[in-house]
Formats: sequence, C-alpha cells, structure tokens
Amino acid sequence: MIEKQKTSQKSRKSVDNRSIRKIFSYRELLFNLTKTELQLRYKNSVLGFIWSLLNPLLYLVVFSLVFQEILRTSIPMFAIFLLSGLLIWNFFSSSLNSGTGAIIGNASIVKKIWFPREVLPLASVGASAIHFFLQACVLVLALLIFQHEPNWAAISLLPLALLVVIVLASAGAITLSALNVYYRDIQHFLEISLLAWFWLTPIVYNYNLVADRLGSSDWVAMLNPITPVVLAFQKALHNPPAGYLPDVSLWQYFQNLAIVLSVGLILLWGSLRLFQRLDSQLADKI
Amino acid sequence: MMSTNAISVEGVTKTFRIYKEQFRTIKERALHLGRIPFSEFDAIHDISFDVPEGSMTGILGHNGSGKSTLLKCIAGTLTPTSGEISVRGRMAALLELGAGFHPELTGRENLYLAGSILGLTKLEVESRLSSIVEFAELEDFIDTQMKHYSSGMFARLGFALAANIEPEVLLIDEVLAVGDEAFQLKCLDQIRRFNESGVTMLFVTHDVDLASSICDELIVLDHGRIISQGSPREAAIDYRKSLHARNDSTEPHSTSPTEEVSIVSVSLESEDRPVMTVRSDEPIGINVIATLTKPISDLVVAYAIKTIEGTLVHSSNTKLLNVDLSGVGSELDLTFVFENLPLLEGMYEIDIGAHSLDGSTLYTQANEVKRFTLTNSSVGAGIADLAVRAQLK
Repeated sequence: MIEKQKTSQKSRKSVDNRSIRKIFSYRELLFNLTKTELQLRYKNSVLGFIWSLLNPLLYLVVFSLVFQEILRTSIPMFAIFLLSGLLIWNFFSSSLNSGTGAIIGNASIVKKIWFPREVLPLASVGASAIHFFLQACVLVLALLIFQHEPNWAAISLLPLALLVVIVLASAGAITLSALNVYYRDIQHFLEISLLAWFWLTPIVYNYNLVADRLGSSDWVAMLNPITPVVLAFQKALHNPPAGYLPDVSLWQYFQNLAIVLSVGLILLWGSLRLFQRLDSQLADKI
Repeated sequence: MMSTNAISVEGVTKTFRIYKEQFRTIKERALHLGRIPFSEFDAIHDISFDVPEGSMTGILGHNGSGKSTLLKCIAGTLTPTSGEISVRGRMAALLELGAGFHPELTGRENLYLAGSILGLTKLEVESRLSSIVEFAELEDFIDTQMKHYSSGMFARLGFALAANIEPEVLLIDEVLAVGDEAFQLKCLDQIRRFNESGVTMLFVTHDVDLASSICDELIVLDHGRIISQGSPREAAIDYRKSLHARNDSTEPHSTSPTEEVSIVSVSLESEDRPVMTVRSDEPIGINVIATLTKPISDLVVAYAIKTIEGTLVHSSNTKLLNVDLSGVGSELDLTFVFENLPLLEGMYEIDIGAHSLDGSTLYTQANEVKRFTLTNSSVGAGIADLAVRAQLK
C-alpha cells in the first residue's frame, strides 16, 4: 500500500537492505514504468514494435554484405554468428543508454512524489529486456530459415548468461542514472564509450582472432565482462566449428559466467549503496 | 488520554546551496579545483510542530516562505539537512495535481501508472477506477491521450485519484487553485469528508480565508521560521500583519494615507464562518479587522462592492449607517451585515477604506482587498437582480 506503518525521514539515512525490500514492494511500479517506456516508444507509429525487429534485420543485411561479401570473413553462417552476439549486446547497451537518462527524464515525478527512485533505471533495463526477447524472434526465425542447428547442450548456458547481463546492466544503469544528475557529461561519455566497447567485444569478429594475436596474455580479452556472455550466446546458437571460439569445455564457459556474475553482484550492491548516498540530494540537484 | 501525533516534525532545517555559477561539467569543476563559490540559505529553519491524528492543520506563508519545502520534506521528496520528521500511517502527497501523469498516455493508462507511483497495486486501481472517473467527470475522455486534456481535466483526474486512495495522512499543496469553481467546491467537499472520516491533513496555502475556514489549527511561516501557531483566527491575523509589514516596506500607497489605521483582514462571513462563495438570498457579513495606533474620534470606515470590471454596485460607511467608532481602542472588529445581496451571479470585489468624518484625512485604503463569487439562479443581464416577471395581455 501507500506507505507502510511508520515512515521516518532522518537527515542521515542508514544504508541497509531496506532499499532492496522497498524496491521489491514497488515491483508493480517497475512493471508499469517498463510498460510505459515501451508504450511511449511506439505510440503514434504505424509499424509499432515492428521497428524494433527491423533494426536487427538491417544490421543483418548490412553487416553480412560488408563482412561476408566485401571483407570475406571466414566465419560460416555469418548472419547467425552476428545476431547471436549483437542482440545480447544491444540489450546491454540500450539498458545503459536509456537508464542513464532515467532520473533526469522523469524529473517532474522525482521532485513531486516519493518512491524508490532506483525503480526508474531498473525500468529502463526492463524495457530493454522485453526488446531483447522481441528481437530474439528474428534470430529464432533466422535459425529456422537457414535450418541451422544450435548447440543444444550449450543452450543451458543462456539463462545464466542472461542473468549476468541483467545484473551488470542494472548495476550500470543505477550508478549512471544517479551520477548523470550531477554530471550531465556522463551521457555523452557513455555514448562514445559504448561505441569503443562494442568493437572491443568479439561480436562482428570471432574471439580466437584476438586471442591468437595476444598469445599467452589472452586473459586480457577476458577482462571485458560482456565477452563471456557473448561467447556463451555464440557457442549455444551459432556453434561454429573448432578454431573460432575458445575450445574449452562447457564447464569452463559456465565458470567464466559464474565469475562475471559474482563480480556483477558486487557491482550491483555497490551501485545500490552509491545510489542511496546520492538519493537524498537528487531532488535538490535535478 | 494522550492523543497520538500523525505527523511530528522536530527541529527540521533544510539548507540549500546557492551556487554563484553552475559548474556542472567535469572540465569546469577541474578548472575551479572543485571549489565552487556558493552561499547557503535555510529555506526552513528549525521547524518543530506536531499534527495530531485526525486533525487538519494549515500552513500559511507568502511566496518563498518555505512552506512548499517543508511539505516536500514531510512527503520525502526532499531530505532535511538536520532534524527529524516522522509520519504515522499511509501517506499520500498532493504536491501537484497530476504529477506522474504522462501526456502521451490515455487517462486510464495514467491512472494505473500514477496509482503505482503512489503505491497502489493494479487490483486496487481497478477497484477504484469507476469512482475515480466518476469523481473527475471524465467518463467520455478516459481513453483519450492526456495531451488532449485541458489543464482543468488534468487536475480533476489528479485530485480524483488522490481522493480515492484512502490515505490516512494527506499532504495538500496549493492544489485547489486549479479547475473551475464547481470542481473546487467538490474538492473542498471531499476534503471536509476526509476530515470527518478522521484523515489527518496538512494543508499548504496562501489563501487565508480558505485556510481559516477549514483548518483546526494554522501555522504561519515567514522566511522559513514559524512566526505564529494556533487557532485559525489569531494565526490569520498574524499572517496578515506579516504580509502588511512586507507590503508597507516595499510599495508605499500612492494615495499616501496616514498610518493611524491598518487593516488586518477583510473577510466574508456567513453564520460566523468565513466563506468564499455566497448565495444571493442568504445573509452575509463583511468583516473588517483593523488595528489603530491610537483612538480616533472622527473615524469612519467605508466599504464598496464593485463588479470585477470596476463598476460600483453599492457603497456605504459607518457614518451613513449611524455607527460611532470614536470609542474604539486599539483593535477594530466591524461587520457590515447584509440581509441578502440581490445581485446577478458573478464575481465581485470589495474595497475598504477608513477616513475622517469630513473626508479630509484618509487613514487607510485597501482596494480590491477581497474578491468573492456570488451564486444566483436568476437569469438576466446587468448587475442587479430585480424582482421581475413578464405579463401578457
């Protein structure tokens, strides 16, 4: 309901687990904000959500043309390979992009009504997640059309990989949304960072291409937390022959994801703490 | 038996930093080595008060007195710099009607969204939907995008939602200034019903008459400090005095009256309660409260009722009405009593003035000091409501 039995506003708030419970009690709002964000994106457009399907299709056509026909990549079934990594990357980057502006964009509500503001960046992650699932339909369709068989055993990696992205994106969106109120530069900085990050992630090229060049210091490539996620998706859905992706056991893939997940959870905890510290000043600064 | 407090505010101060210049970007901050020149000011300073459960407290203050800041601190959108605020019970804040509504969404979609911002579940909104829409009188427009709503419709839906969430503690900020009169009356009615059903209310306004007619207790803020607290009548007088002090220092009267008399308040009364709307067929009083620096033997107080366009409807004074004011000491409490006001429906204004018997000295003058709405079911054009009928031969 509106507010639980007793609320207390102190000048210094203690940081504790209550924020997570508060967010959970406002899950209905999270759901509604997610819905609203999607509704607003397609209000007054004739094609509606079909636009979000056209985006990966366009990528598919253009990148296939460039990499398969012009640059002559050796990756078989390049279209499938590209989509496997691209869609999950889009989920991550659009979460951060829209999450960063979430609080500033809702300034009118933030200034007037109290509610756990963490819900706003989380709703951006939610909307991006729904998008991801819509776009995944294009990928499934491509698999069917090309009669491409995924690696059924590796499919079991995907729920974990998805969870990793959700945790990382949430941590990022929460942190950036609050910092962006203080430094509006964040938004612009993020834009170019994501562009660099995209090309530093093995999405349009395969991982081993980089690992071979790095030689014994190939662990550097694994410092990118999105890389294990992208690799898991490529392994499961594209399943290229040996030599393109790290030829290690699925257990190793699983372990890498688990490591990133634990790092992500620590980051998420840190982002919630940071948000709570900044929260009390948000309405003043916005 | 001790009554419990629904809201308790203890020594709350909210300090804002006023930056001389806004250095928001990292480059600018680096150039200034993190030191940005700023001055601090207390929007509210060491405020303490309690609101007992089920009571209605008004916070009066001129613009910039800190009343909205205080309400935002209680609502939780601002965090006080020091001090403590506790609220017991489900709280709903009407800081601005329709906050949280998105113009691109339809009224119905917005009710679900804004409802969940206020903490309602989908089921709770669903069960209240019909009564909200009915209250807002928006049955035909509920599935229209809100960008096509008028500002009045926007506010109506906002109030209707807030009125239907059954809060235990309700914070209201100047929200009744919107919508047409009929809806304002409806809102006031709802507020009275809340009051009767034991909802604790904190009401922020600068409308003294409204506040004193509905609140049990008033708190007057001036520059972030409480200058008066208590019964509506006394607090209202203190508020007017503080306003008067401000006006005197800022804009001297062009008619240059002497300063022996100062008007503290002018209000319309019906059955000894302040009112804002009067009916043409009921008795009504114009109450004038003024302070005198010394007894004045030849004091005459005059009133004028004018239409909003400035046409004089009626005026008279204590001399014509045979009331001797020479015995009045330091405080004047005078009421002009009308059996009825046979005028056509519309808005009217009252001027009040005080002068000497021969009219040579003007003690004080307050033009358009009070505006009121008169309701009358008679039709016709003009000002006066003459008893007329048409006869055919």
